[in-house]
Amino acid sequence: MKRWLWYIIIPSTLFLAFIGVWLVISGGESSLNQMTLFKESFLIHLPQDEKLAKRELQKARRALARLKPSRPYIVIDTHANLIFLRTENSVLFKATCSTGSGGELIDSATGRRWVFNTPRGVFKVTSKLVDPWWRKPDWAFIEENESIPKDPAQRLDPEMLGEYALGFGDDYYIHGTIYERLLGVNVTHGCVRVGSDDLKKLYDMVSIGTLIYIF
Amino acid sequence: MTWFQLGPSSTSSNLQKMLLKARWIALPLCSFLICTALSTCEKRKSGQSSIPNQTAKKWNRERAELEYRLIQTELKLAKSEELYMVLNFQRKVLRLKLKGAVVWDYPIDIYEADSQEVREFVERFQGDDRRLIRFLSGKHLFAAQHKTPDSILAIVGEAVRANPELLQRDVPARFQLLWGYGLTLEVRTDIVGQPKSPLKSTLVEFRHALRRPFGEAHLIVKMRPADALTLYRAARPGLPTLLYPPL
Repeated sequence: MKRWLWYIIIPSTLFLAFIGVWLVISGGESSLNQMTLFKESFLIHLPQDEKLAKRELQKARRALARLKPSRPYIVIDTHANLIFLRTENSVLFKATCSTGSGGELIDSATGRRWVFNTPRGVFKVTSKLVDPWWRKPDWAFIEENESIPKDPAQRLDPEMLGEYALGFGDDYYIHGTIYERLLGVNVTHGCVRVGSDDLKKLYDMVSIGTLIYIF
Repeated sequence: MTWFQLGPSSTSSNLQKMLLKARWIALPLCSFLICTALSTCEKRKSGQSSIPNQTAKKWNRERAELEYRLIQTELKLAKSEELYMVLNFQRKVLRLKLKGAVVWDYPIDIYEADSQEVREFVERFQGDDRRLIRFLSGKHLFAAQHKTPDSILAIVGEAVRANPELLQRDVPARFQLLWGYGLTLEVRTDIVGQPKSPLKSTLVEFRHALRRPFGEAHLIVKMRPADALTLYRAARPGLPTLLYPPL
């Protein structure tokens, strides 16, 4: 090999090794966008005047306090499949549940696609139902390789949802199940399944308007 | 008001006069009581703040500035639909919050209880610009154990037409959360798990060894397996982390 080639190979290798070590040491940093997003927060200061500063601080405290739910709220942990009724500092009720499987279903005939995830975010209990009947949606028939019935009565199932249901919008419910053995596993189509005894307790403890936090 | 005109007797007219007079006393009295009740509620609410109400005592500007910055930063985080983490060394608690509400919390139980380590972690987190927020840059799972036996999930998966791998949840035995800048929070549980990606684990350990001479803050926390599962899965790269430094 020609000698001058070494003058290129050696520095390049050293440079690449340096980059490699630097990457290993740094371990990746947060993106610049995130940093700029909160840049303002670092620059925030109280007014110099003590009275004004105190007032400003009280205002900020009030704003933070307003974010906290004023009464017990439901928390659904889709990672560990747990449901809680809690306040900021204490857990009032805890039970195992089942949440969305994340599975996907595609109707080969029409190309329609469903992803069975439990929605995440903040919701409210919008309805409280006793002995709810399930109105089976199209995917329930497609999944079973059955034809979709034209008669709406054929969609009704009185057993599947258990004895109680708490609706939280868009046809999502916290409800009972006939498959209690599967509690704790992500097997649902998006609803939250709870065992019958726990569901009864939860049903009695919450009212319409109770906040639901799903993460 | 019709109920004042029930009868023409002198007793009722005296009663009328008394009630009319009482109205002028009752109205200010009621307003006073309502105001007092409201101010008491307000005091209780502000008393719930993470930092004790300093305004009631001697005004400590530095502490007030810190609290103000923390509140403003948290208000900003709570505006988003995303989860955020709060490392509160004042209350010794690790929290996940959504829209300002606590959705998960766990007491910070330092494995190798040494306040020097906590101080180093906090100093490194804050850096020269005294920042209170950083973003998770990564996580690494060293060892884990399947939550549900594969054989059961194979049957369940077939019944619900879902990939058994999708249904499986690995309960972490040991994992690390990384924020960059040499900041690491290591979570250990008391379960013995199967090693995960040994090559990557070796590289991560190697990285720590290389970084140590340049400075590193490494906290080790003990946790219950179910909580470790939640934290590991909820902690995605980019997760905003707010730090409440010890007072």
